[in-house]
Amino acid sequence: MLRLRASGGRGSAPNPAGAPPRTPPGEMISPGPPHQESALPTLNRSGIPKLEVAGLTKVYRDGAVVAVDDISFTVESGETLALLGPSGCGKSTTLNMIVGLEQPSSGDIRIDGRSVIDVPAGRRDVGLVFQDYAVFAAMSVRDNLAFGLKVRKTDKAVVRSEVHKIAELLGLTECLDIKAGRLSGSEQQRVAIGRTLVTRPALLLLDEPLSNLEASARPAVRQELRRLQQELHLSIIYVTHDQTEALSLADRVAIMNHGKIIQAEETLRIMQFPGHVQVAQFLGSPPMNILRGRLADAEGGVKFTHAAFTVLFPACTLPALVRERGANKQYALGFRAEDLTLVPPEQGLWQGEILGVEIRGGDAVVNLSSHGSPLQCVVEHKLKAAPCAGLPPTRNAGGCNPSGLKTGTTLTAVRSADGLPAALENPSASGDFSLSKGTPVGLTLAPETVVLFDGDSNLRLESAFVPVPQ
Amino acid sequence: MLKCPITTAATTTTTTAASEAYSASGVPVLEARELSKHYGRKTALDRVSFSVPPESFVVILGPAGAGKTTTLRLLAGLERESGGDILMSGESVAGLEPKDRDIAMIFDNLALYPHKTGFQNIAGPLLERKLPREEIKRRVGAVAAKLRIEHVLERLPKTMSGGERQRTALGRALVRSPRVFLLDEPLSSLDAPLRFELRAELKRLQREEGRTFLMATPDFAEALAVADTVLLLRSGKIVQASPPEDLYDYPVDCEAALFVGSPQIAVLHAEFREGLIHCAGLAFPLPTALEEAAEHMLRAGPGGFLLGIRPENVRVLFSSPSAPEAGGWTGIPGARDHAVGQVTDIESLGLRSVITVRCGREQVGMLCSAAQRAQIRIGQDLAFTVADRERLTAFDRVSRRNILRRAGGRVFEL
Repeated sequence: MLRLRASGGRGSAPNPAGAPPRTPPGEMISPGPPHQESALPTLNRSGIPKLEVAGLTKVYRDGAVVAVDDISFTVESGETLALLGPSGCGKSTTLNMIVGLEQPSSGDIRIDGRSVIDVPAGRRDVGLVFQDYAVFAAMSVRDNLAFGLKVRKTDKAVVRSEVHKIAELLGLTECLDIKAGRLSGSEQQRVAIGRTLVTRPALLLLDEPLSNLEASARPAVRQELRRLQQELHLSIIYVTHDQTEALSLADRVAIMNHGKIIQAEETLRIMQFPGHVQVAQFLGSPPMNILRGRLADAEGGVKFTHAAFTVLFPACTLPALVRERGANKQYALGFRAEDLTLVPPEQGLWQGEILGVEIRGGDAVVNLSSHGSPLQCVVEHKLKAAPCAGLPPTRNAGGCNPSGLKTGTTLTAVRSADGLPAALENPSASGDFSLSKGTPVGLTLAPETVVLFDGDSNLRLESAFVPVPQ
Repeated sequence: MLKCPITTAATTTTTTAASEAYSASGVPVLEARELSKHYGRKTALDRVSFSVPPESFVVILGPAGAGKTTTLRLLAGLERESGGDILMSGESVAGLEPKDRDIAMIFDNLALYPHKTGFQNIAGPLLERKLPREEIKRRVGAVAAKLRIEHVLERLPKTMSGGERQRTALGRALVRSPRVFLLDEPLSSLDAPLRFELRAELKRLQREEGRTFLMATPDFAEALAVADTVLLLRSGKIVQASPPEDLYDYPVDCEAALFVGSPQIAVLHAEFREGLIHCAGLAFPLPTALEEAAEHMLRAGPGGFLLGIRPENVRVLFSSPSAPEAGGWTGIPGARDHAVGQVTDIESLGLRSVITVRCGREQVGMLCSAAQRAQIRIGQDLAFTVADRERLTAFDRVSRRNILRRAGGRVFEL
């Protein structure tokens, strides 16, 4: 869709090998100018963060409502930071303060090292793209793209060449003379982004830019945004409530809730090591399972005592840190739905029963109840020869059992290694498993996949169960 | 790992019981026969036929403008059909007013009265019907318990959380017991986590209370998660009607395959000659699943056909290409168990990533783990193979329809 020049720039610049997700900020600058002649914002190599937010607070009604509560973060040059959180968590208010549409109650905002608190909204050198595109529908794409430069009274020839560059970059050359209102949603969004980029802002702020697009159009636009990031070395704050977007576009993710940043961390690290129970229960689809209780060393392993049941994790011991804290501490155990395995009841470390199944396509999420605690488990599903075979067409839906699965459906209960569907790792793993409501199942879990949180502070502990070689 | 298989006896029994119950009740709750709607010269709905059995959860899935809302509005009696018939429990409701159709419709914008408490909001529809006070109290209480919002019954909407408000609004619809609920994208305005929670709730309610739901949504994930049967609607026509797994594994055509599933399926040009399928640099023997399509593939000749490969079915290879981890069809003369392409895009999904490689003119997507992702850079060459040949689908090059007979489910004929 988006036609970008493939030569030079980030596209072919090697990332430092071995860096887990994307490269850390600062290292992303490739040697030499990535583009000689494109509409590039100038690179900041001074080492000063592109944006610094310090102690930013916004209260309404004389402090009765705290919308943003003393948050601090930075965006490095060329970095994309996602602000991720539910509606009303304060992310849009934060964005509005950075743009200058709202005045902070306290705190500082620095762009390229310079405080912009007293700089009016139009002069902060930030570009904002809204969820609802807000293109000028009656204007041509060309006039939309030129708008920002024209109000700055840029030379006409420069306007023309800049508009052409940005149109080419965004694949809009063909529709320069079409009225923006006649374009599709994703094309309008491209115009909105182009209109902002043409002014070469130091910082690009995207406020849920994909929310108004059809779900099927989003993957392509995400891919375009990733290429733009790489080609133009943009510094971006991406505000969203959709973790798919945050994970797919950001170098780092800051999780916000109730006006506070709970954790800001590299994308992969925050998934692997959520620092707080709230983060663990927010990220991932499905998010981590959490069980609360006490821990003690026991014969043959670690004993976990939940209010309603106990689990003996075999072949491991408690880390020294937990032992030192004494026996009366509460802990929260976090483990991924992909790491939980369904087995016959007598083989489980503990037991539960099936509540229902949600099919996702290549796999399915099984909702379970374990002595009243809700848990989720991911299993791969495979079909046998003929689902609902023999039933006349109009009876199809009626012939399906109440669990939502049809006769002949085989659910293969598998443990996933490395986060991949286990069938890819181990094609022989299989077993027929009835997943109708109320079926008792056994649950197993490898002790090394458990993440430990302090039960009171909900913060993650640095240590985990220590395996004992048998 | 699962050692001894648990019998599927329980599944089978429930299924039989369910279908018996269904036969006993005889007729579908709701049935559309050749339903059409024209606006001037424009056809919004084109001879659509389907049925909604009692206690089922049927989902109409389609992109914006496919005719989902039009269908629901016709069923509810808010608009008059241009042709065809609507039957409820076997009887035509043509010409009946919406209020006489015994249908409840739930919309996207589930509004609440701001000056009324949770209880008053939920009780609204019952008060209008002048039901006895005790009866109202009992029914509101029961619905609130089901939706786990008993604690907000005495509170005003502005003091509730977003989720509590949405539940209260759902409670307002669910407090009635019509023959069928029509839901028009009821969750689309919600944040993702809340949406996941409430769709599980909807499914639970529907199942536990034996209610009958017909829901419209543009979100395939939502459809797969809750539906017993998915009706795939496109440009006013039902193009596929099948259980959710079939929609995913046996899509009726390329467009259906691309519409359902994320990350998206790759649709690649392929050829079948000398007993091998050649595709994106791979050459492998015909999988059993595609045997019935062999003749069709051969007839297609050098023009070839289209092969659908889902990203979870493509595996990245790091070690030497003919290592045992490759596709497992080495040794067959002419076979190629791996192909190499250039990495053009890396999308993180969290713990996993989707790698897109360009192979000649084709783009192939594949899932990889975080550890694998760390070794992959944009622009590099990457070897890959198909993990399970039995999970491939094949489409005709010209019509783009699935070649397999069983694909596409059954478009209901009456």
